[in-house]
Amino acid sequence: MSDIDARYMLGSILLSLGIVYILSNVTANFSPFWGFIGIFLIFEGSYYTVKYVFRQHKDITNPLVTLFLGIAVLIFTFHIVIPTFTMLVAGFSIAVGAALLLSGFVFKISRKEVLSGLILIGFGFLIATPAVFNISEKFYRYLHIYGVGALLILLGLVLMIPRNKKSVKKDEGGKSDEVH
Amino acid sequence: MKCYYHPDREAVAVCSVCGKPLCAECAQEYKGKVYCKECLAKVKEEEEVAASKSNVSKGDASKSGASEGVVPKSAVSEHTETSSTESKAKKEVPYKGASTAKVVFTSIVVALVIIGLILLSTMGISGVLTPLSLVTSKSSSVESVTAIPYEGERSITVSLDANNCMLNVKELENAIDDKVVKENTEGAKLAVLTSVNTASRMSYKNGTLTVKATGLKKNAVVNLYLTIRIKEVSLESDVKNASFSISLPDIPISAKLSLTNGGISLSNCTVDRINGTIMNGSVTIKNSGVTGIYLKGMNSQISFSDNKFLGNVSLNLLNGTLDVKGNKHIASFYEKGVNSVINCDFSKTEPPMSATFKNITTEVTINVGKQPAVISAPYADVKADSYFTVNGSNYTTPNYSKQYSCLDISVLPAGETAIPLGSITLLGGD
Repeated sequence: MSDIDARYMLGSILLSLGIVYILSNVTANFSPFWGFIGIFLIFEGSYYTVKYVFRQHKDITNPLVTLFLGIAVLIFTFHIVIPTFTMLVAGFSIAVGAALLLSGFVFKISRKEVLSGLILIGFGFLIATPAVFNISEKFYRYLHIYGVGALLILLGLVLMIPRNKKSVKKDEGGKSDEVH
Repeated sequence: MKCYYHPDREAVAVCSVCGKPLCAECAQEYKGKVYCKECLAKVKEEEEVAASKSNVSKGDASKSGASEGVVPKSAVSEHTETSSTESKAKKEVPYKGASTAKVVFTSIVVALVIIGLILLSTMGISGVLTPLSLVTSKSSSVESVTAIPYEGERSITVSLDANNCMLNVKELENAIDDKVVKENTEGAKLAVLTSVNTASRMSYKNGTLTVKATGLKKNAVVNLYLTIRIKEVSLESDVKNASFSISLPDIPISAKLSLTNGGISLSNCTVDRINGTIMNGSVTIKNSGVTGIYLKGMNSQISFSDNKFLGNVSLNLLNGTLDVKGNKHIASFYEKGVNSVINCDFSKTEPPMSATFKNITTEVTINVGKQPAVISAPYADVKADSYFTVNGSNYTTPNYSKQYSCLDISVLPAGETAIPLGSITLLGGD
């Protein structure tokens, strides 16, 4: 951590505290602790994201995850989404997923990150949707009835799909290229 | 560790200034230290600047006739070379301080914009910044005050467990016409409560308006005594861990609620409309007249008792408790929540009325007393392992269906039907 990073962090702590102090005075139903966490994460995340954009920082995934987590924390803190357990899990899952997707799709091309992001977003929406439409009970009842069976069927199908066996192609330079 | 500039290559050294890992190609040694390209350029640039400064000082000294004499040609040419490399370096490597400032400034702006957008959406969606506001309609002229329809004191008692809550009286102040204030208050000022900790008490003279606030801490009480003409009171609340009760006869109240672990109790009120959501909370309405209620609740208790009339009631209660009894008139009653314990006593309700209960999965007890009633259950569905019984009637379910769990009840005026019913107990669920 360089000098300017440390200074920015201290500054952002003070800024966050100031904003939280004002908000807690003018806002009802506002948790100062989580408000501070959210605002601080947004400051830190945006700093390192901007640093990456200006080519002064190597990593983009972690700053984006920090930024999106901060946004999620603030969304719950301000009760834009009511912070029930289900929505918290879904919200943070979607936040991390969106950060990974953005990082893997826009800033650097990484299939692994895009896939992880999509899985996390899918998981988040899967558990959030029944709660949003108030059909959780029905959903989990059907999941209980059909879920395990469907999963096993899916796994069976995946195993049945013919795939190329591991083969090794050698090119001119003697390098090997694995094809699955 | 991989090279910073070539991620496919292993690093063999680390820049002594910025600490970047470097491969053999990128690592550049200069005066016994390893640098990356950028840092090396900066180091050289600094050295050149220092050298040029010393040359300039030498030149100045020579101009002023110092003992060194004329500056040699080589030095001049060196100086011009230095300045040309310096300008090149300036073009290639941005000045570190400026770019850092740019980064910091940009990131602060980005962060503030994000936080601002979230705040803006919060204000737009649920009005969090005015969590509990009492707003009167504007009295536009003095005449309206002379014809005060609600003379005498009216009180609103708000009891708050008010951590981070605010009673916003500013809107109330703004809502009162200036002329009205002058005519009736003899210049007294209406103080504005801005925060929980502002314990204040203020009073309009002539008994026009008294706003009294003591503490507003845990279970504090705020009393508003209004004798100004009020057309309507609208209550907006987004309150956590709070419970408050309102007793305000004659003046219509409309309320938009968002309660978490909180409760609202209305008694002797005229309620135009209540809508909102409750989480682990309670809503109690008694001895009032209610035109419309639209509530969603989770793990919450809702109770309507001894009301003069209930207009359209639409509830969606999940894992909650619903108690309805002693209401004189009910226009329509609709409940579609899941897993709620429902106790409805319509025996004192005068016909006509109708009630619909959907998604019945747990115990529902509905008593229509000796009212002549028609109970039909076109979509009555309880799970296979459940049953429902009807006490005191030969009730049948003509259109029993397993598709929906719904029970329709209609209580009709005497003479229109003659199916006496005692109480219906609907049992089911897991």
